[in-house]
Amino acid sequence: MSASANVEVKVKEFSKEDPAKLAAFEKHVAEGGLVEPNDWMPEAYRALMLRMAEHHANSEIVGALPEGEWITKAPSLLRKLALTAKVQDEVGHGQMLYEVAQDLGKTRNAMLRDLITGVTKYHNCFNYPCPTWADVCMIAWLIDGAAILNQGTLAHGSFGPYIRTMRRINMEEAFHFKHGEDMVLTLMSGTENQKKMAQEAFDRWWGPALAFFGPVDPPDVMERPAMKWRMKTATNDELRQKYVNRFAPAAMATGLVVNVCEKDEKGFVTSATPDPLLKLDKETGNWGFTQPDWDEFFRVIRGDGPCNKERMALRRFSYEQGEWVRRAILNGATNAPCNN
Amino acid sequence: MSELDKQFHEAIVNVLLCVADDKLFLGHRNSDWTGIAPILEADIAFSSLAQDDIAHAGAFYELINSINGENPDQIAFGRNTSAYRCADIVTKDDEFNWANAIARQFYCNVYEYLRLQRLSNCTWSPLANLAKRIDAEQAIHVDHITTWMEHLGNGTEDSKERMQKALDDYAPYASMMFEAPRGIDTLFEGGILVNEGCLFTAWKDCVDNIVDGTGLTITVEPCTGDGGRTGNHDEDFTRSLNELQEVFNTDPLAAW
Repeated sequence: MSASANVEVKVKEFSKEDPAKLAAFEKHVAEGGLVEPNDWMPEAYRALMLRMAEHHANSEIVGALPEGEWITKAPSLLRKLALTAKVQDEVGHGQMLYEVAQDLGKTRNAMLRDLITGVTKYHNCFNYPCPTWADVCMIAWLIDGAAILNQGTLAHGSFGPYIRTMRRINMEEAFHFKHGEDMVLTLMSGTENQKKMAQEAFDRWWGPALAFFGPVDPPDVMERPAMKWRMKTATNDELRQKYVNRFAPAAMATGLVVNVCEKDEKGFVTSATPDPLLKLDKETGNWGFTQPDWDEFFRVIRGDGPCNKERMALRRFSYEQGEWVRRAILNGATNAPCNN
Repeated sequence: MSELDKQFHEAIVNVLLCVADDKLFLGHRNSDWTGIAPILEADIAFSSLAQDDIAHAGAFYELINSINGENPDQIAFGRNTSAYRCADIVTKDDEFNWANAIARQFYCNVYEYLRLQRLSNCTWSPLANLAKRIDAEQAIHVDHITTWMEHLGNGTEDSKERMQKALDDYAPYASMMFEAPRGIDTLFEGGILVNEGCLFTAWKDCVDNIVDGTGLTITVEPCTGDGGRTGNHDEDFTRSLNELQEVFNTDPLAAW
C-alpha cells in the first residue's frame, strides 16, 4: 500500500527555464507523451517527480511496519503466509521506487538517511495505531483499496519509469486488496466478537482512508504543476468521492456501520455515531459523506500523530542495526544498488 | 509403499512434527525480519525463505493430517508447549542482530537439507516424495546462506568478529537439533526409514566445508540431554509460541 498523491508540492519558480523548451515540454506532456530520465525536463518537474517517487518509496517501507508487527501473530498458516508475502511486496515496491527516484538524482542511502532524520516524509496513514488483528484486515482492505484507486490514476502520469513501476505495483496491490477483502468478510461472517473487532477497526481506519487522498483541492488545482504536467491525473477530491462511492456501500453490505468518530491522542475512538451525510444522491450517483478530521490530519503530518515516533524509531533502529552488514557486503562495490 | 502400517503411526507423526515444527518456528522467527532487514534486497530474499519454511511446515502438517485426520492449523497453532517437537535453536531470540539470524539460519538450513535428503529415502512414498520436493528448495536455502557466510566472514574484521560470536553463541543450541526423535528406532527397525549413520558427523563435515576459507570456525558438539524434540522447551520458545497463538487463542474454533 502507499500513495504519493497527497505530496504537497511547492515549486518556487520555473520561469528561469528556456521558454521554447518549456513550451515544447508542456505540449509533449499535454498530448500524452512520456518523459524519460535522460529527456530534457524543467528542473521543477525533476524536483517534484523526485519528491513524489521518494515519498512513495518511503511510504512503502514505513507502510511495511504496522502490518509487519502482526506477521508473527497471524492466526492461521494461510494468513501468516499471505501477510508475510504482502509486507514483502511493500518492501519490494519501496525498492523499485527508490530506483525510480535514484534516476532523478538522489542516492538510496541519502533517501534512507533523510527518512530517518525527518528531512523527508512518508504517507500520513502509517502514523495511526494497529492494535488488533482486525486492523491488519482493515489496512489491507481500506488502505490498499485506496492505494489501488490512487495509483490506478498515477499509472497514467507522464514520467515513464514511474508509471511503468506503478503498473507493476498495481497488479500486486490488487492481490493485497483481495486478501484484505477476504479477511474482512471472514471476520464479518464470524463470531460476535470478531464482528465487534472488525467494526472497531473500521472506525479507526475509515477517517485515515478518506484522508489518504490528501487535503481538499485548492481552487487552482488544475493549474498547479502536479496536474498540469500530468504527474497526477485525478484530484484528491475526485479520488475521495470515487472511493466513498465504492467502499461505503461495500462496507454496509458486510454489516459494517460507517461512523463519524472522535478519537483521543493515541488514535483510539472515543465516540462513534453513524455518518448523517451518508446518502446516495441518485442524480449524481455520488454518496454523501462527512469529511475526515482535517485538523487531526495536519497535526499528524506535522509529526504529532499517535505513532510517528514509534514508526521512525523502528526505521532508525533497522537502518543503524544494519550498517555493519552494508559495510561488509558492499565493501568496494560502489556501484551496488544499495550503496549509491 | 503408499500405505503405512498402523504400528508406525505414532513414531512417524513424531518425526514429522520434528520437521514441521522446526520449519514453522524458523519461518516464524525469520518472517519477523520482513520490513526491517539491513538491505532491501536482503529483506525481500529473507522473507521469501521464511515463507518457504512456513509453507513447508504446512505441507508436513498436511501429511500428518493424512495419518490422523487432525486439522493442520490446529496442529500448528493449537498445542501446549510440551507437544511441540522443534529444537529450540529455531526460536532462540536473535535480538534483531543480523549475525544471530544468519548463524541460526546457517546451522538450521544445512541440517534441514541433510535431514530431508535422508527422509527422501523413506520407504513410505508420501513422505519420500514430499521430502524430495522440499529438499530441492532447501538446496536454494543452503546456497543463499552459504553466500552470506562467505560475505560476512570475508567482509570486514568487524563482520567476521560478529559472525564468529553469533556462531559460538548459537553452537549449544545447534547441538540440540541432533536430539533423536522419539520412535525413530522403531522406524529404522521396521524398514520405514533408512539409518544412514550419524547425522551430526555428516552435518559437521558439511558446515566445516562451507566455512572453509571464510576464517570462521564451528565448535558445535554432539547432542547431550533432552530438549525440544522431547517437548522440553526454553523461555524463548515459550515467548515465540505465545506470540504465534496470541490471536488464534482468542477463539481457537473461529475461522480467521
